[in-house]
Amino acid sequence: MKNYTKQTINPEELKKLTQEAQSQATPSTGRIVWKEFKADRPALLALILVVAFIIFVTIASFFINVPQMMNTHIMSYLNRPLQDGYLLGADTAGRSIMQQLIVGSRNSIGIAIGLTLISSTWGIAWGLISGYFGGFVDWWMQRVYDFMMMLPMTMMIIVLVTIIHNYNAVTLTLIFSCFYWLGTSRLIRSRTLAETKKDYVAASITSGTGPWKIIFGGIMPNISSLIVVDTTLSFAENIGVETGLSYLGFGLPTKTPSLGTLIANANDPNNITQYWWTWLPAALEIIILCLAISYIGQVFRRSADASQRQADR
Amino acid sequence: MSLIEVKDLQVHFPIRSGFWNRISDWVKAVDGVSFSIDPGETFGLVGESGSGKTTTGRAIVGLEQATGGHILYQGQEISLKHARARHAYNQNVQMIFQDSLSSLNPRKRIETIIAEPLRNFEHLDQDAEKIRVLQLLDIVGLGPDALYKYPYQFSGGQRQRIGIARAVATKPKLIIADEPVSALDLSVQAQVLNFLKKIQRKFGISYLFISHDLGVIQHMCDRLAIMNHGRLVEVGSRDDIYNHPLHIYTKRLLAAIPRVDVRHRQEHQLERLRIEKVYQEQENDYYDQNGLAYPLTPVSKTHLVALSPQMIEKQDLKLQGVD
Repeated sequence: MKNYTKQTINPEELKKLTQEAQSQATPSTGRIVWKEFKADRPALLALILVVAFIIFVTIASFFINVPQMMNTHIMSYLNRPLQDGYLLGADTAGRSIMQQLIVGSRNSIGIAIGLTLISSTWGIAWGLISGYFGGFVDWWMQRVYDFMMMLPMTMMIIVLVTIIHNYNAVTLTLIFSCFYWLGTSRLIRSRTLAETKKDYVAASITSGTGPWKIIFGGIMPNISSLIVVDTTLSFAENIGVETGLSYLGFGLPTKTPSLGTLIANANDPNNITQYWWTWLPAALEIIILCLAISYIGQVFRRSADASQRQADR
Repeated sequence: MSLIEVKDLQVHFPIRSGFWNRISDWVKAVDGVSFSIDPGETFGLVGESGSGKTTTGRAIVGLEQATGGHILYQGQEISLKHARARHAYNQNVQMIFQDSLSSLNPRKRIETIIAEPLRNFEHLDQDAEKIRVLQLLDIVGLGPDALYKYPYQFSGGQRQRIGIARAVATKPKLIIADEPVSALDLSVQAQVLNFLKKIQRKFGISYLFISHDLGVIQHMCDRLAIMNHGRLVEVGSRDDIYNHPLHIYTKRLLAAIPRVDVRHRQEHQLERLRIEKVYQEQENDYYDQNGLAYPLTPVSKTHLVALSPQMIEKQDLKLQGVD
């Protein structure tokens, strides 16, 4: 065996060794996830569907003049699908369902993405810090959590929406974010508590690494599987949050179309029985989107847990 | 001057209970432990599970806050957190953990794991750091191909050697080895122990060697202490403890070492039974009314035993008679 302690290694050999070792190293997370998607056809289909749909509605909504779209066209009152150039028909005010669906999807998905990003980031940080430090820090952070948990969430959101007069998609996202980090933070905290007890954290402490680096550089990658799965599934859930409130009439303002306002058409018994095209497309879209996202979430979960993987079998 | 000196160390954990979650009792994991370790020496700490030996080690390395007593490193008090930071204490005092798998971050490559203390304490440039890591891997008998692998790709013995490489990375003066071989099988145990000895000769490191395996301790240690219920019952050189044990608990512990000597099996068994009987009879003489060991009293230059005041008198007479 070569004695590295006496002779210094020359840079070329070091480079060669580095390359050799890197080629033998285990595949990266990205490659594992991709293999897992390839092994699970429905999930791959779901991924393509969701990504293509989000890109489509984002781009298509730029070509739609929203104020004009939301004007009442009395002559097109409840047009059937494919009648007078209305692909999916029109609602009781003669507005195109197809165009509303595109703009509404963009709004709803945009709110869901924003909400997921803000609430998950906050919840993950809250749970990690609370679980790692323990003691008084944990005690205070958990009492804040308990207080927030005690507030009736839907009621609070409705009250806030009523108080704030000029609200739009951004303010609504922020209001939702105040309440939707709770579940994530508790989940992350429980795993952090278990992870903090492990010896590699102790080894990092004795190696002189600071607490923030240990939390976000040492512990967080080890619970990344949980984070990815939780974020994906809460994204599916968050689409429902905005939709549900808009359906009740407390979500986005009436001038702004969303999936929720489209489904709210089903409040009218006439629409339910005769004019199915006013509400059915939006309802189907939500079902398909949420199903597809949970399929994707399952693939992420399997990639994170080696014993559940379906690829390489 | 001794490298590290532990004086009357106490680590007590509160037990909280009741509606107001008030402290109702204390678990005295470590209750008044004193010893010192000289440079280049291996000091053994032996005891049964739950005797507080691991807690002692964790308190010395700074993972557990001492609730009382003093820890002096080269004469300086380091039992408080800011004192440890000021002296770059952990550059000089490192730890080897029992569970080699959980002590290595499963998401990090071996290079990052071994380089972690180097990055915090020595701030080398990238190439110098890589060469240091390669040297360290070489010292523990692993090739450069280990550099980019993950911990789970190694066997238990290899992982423990990676843990050793990380512990010696900053050339520390003291390493707390917390049962470093008890999770390994026998052939690998010998291999890892020999690496520890080799590194000690090379760098002149002191070890605090925590174990429940008296055979391993005998192989490794110059001096050792026997721990029981958070207190030391006997401290002495290897010869003192193994050949002239005085405390009843030490005798019992030594009798429990399994012997591969089939012909005299019957005799060994009878000897063990005899010591167990003596232990049952004399237990009360060696522990106070709360079941705790007495303070240590010196019986020779190197040998300290926890004896009751009455026994000290008898012991003095006996020693004089022998001498």
